[in-house]
Amino acid sequence: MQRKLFGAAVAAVLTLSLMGASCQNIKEANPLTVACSAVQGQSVDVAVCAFATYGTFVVFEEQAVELARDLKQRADADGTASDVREALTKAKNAIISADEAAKPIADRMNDALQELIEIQAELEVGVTHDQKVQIATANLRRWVNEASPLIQELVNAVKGGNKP
Amino acid sequence: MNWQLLLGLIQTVASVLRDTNVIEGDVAQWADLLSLGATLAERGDDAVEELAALKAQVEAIAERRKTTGEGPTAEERAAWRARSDAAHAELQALKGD
Repeated sequence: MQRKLFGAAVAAVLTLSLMGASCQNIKEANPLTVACSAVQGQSVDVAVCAFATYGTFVVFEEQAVELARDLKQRADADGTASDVREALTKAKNAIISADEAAKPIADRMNDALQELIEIQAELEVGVTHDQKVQIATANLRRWVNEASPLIQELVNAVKGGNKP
Repeated sequence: MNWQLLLGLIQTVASVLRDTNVIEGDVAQWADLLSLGATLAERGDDAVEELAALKAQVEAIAERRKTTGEGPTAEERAAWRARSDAAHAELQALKGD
């Protein structure tokens, strides 16, 4: 029994080490750090931040598809114990629920970005006024703030998909 | 650290332990979950590549914004929206038991 546990423990340590390295890499590649963090003396460009936030959402949404597919395949495989199948299905459904919560708000944020860009273009040719741009900017900022925690939930669900 | 080598090692260890019945019962189920962990780690690499590509695109847009004032274009936004719609549809298809 000790030999069995030792083998499982070695595999666990290696897996966790790899996952830790992967998380660090994700942190370094995070597009939000360049788009949504204020540089000294400059304010955040909410249009670029919203674009980066939406893109980040889509990257993890696509990861969610791959992971959910894996979880389903493992759950459906012959010989999978019923409690393991249940845990795998639960993890898959948690990922799908997180996407269902984030998707409509992220899309609204993307629509608000579109509105802001259109209004800014109108301002440049003089067919609208600056106040309209300010309102559209504030509206987009509100959607970014609303979408961000929901996208974070999706990221957490994808990262936690190995712990059903 | 050779990422792919370690990943392969984990999968090999998990499958050998399971296939040779060195582990069984509850512990064999761990092997399935550990193998899943290794898959996720591999996915993490995919995410890093995708995020790095997005970061480069965002930096280019931010630079363009400073020089010409042009923000994300309709095509750039539509491309991400299309990817999201496709991913969402696939997730919906995987829903259920």
